[in-house]
Amino acid sequence: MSSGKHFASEDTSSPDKGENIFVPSDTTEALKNIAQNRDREAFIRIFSYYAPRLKSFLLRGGFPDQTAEELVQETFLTIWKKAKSYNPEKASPSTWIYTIARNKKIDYLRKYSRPEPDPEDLKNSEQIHPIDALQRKQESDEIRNLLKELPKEQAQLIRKAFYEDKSHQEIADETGIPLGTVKSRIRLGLKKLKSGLNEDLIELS
Amino acid sequence: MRDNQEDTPLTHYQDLLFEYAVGSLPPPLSLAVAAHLSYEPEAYDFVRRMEAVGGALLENEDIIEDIAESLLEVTLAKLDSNTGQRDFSTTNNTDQLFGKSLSCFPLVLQNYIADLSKQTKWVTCSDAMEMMCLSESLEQATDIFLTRVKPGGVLPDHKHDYTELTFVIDGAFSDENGQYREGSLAVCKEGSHHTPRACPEKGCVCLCVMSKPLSYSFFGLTRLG
Repeated sequence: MSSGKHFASEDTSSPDKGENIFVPSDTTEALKNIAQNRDREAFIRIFSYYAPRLKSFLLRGGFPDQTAEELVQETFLTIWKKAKSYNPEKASPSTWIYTIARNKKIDYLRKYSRPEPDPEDLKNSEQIHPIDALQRKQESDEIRNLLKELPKEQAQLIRKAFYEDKSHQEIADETGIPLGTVKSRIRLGLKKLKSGLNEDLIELS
Repeated sequence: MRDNQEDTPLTHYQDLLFEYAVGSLPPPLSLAVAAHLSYEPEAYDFVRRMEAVGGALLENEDIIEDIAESLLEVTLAKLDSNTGQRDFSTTNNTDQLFGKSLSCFPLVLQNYIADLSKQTKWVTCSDAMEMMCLSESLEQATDIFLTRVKPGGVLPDHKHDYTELTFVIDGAFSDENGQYREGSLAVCKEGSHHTPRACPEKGCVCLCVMSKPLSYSFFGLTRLG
């Protein structure tokens, strides 16, 4: 049937009518422009796409409107400052922005700076399978699809953990779902979400 | 389908990495997990993957919230104001702790330990074990400490009232649940108990963190011998 046509629109290099439509995959280029040229237009494009989404994300976590906006602002100031350190081989742009926002939330809620391993300080890095930017993007697409396929009760709890930074115990206390059930549902969901990783992953302790 | 799975050390470990990824793990526990991730590529990949789930949720956000029009303007105005993000100064690597240069530590621990180890010192708990409290502001209790157990040293069987993570900085130890080498993370859940034995050749130095602060008197009570 009509096959080839369908994919034509995914060719981002063709300057078609979608000139002004910003899509997540444009973010990498925009971040590069920010890093190299301090490009404010590029910043505005990222802001316009992600700021409303990020605010929605934060509101789901129960933040008041004003706090959510402050955290959005904090996140974008860091995006501007750290654009140079963004590495498309390590994370998709959405993931990178998510981690910045998550850390801002932790700073705000728990008043401490999140301890994170330094990516340049990995002791057994030869065991890491290198992933290029394209594979990173494929991973993102794969995860988005896997998320859609998760049974509702699993997806719901996983979302709650992400939106509200809730531990399994806190989720159990709040929803009235027994702790064992919370754990099992999240574990089952994660099993599906990490299916793209090595089979033997996490068989260590 | 069976809804309840049994808790095992492996499931605890995965839960822990997940809670670290979403940001719900208490600060001291996060420190030990972050140190561990510097050593375990698989765990590091797993956390990455979980962060990518966060990224996907952000990207999938379909309820597009209105944001105050002024927010972009205010943000733009602040872009170049030099609010100066703290530059993490590199640790003076000549500093020594238990005869080992601090540069041997994972970077995430270096800054933390270098600041504190000057103000605190090793306290002998028994013939086999010494400890050093690293919590800064807690006068009566600690939730982060170092332990040093001499080669072949055995700690008596003890129960954990709170979740405790033990990250092996140097040497190795074993208990009923397994063996832990440099870079490993041992998870002791609330209510569990174990009998750790330090490696006969090297002993071990570990970072121990608790989900709740532990009163200093605790250490007196568990004194060996």
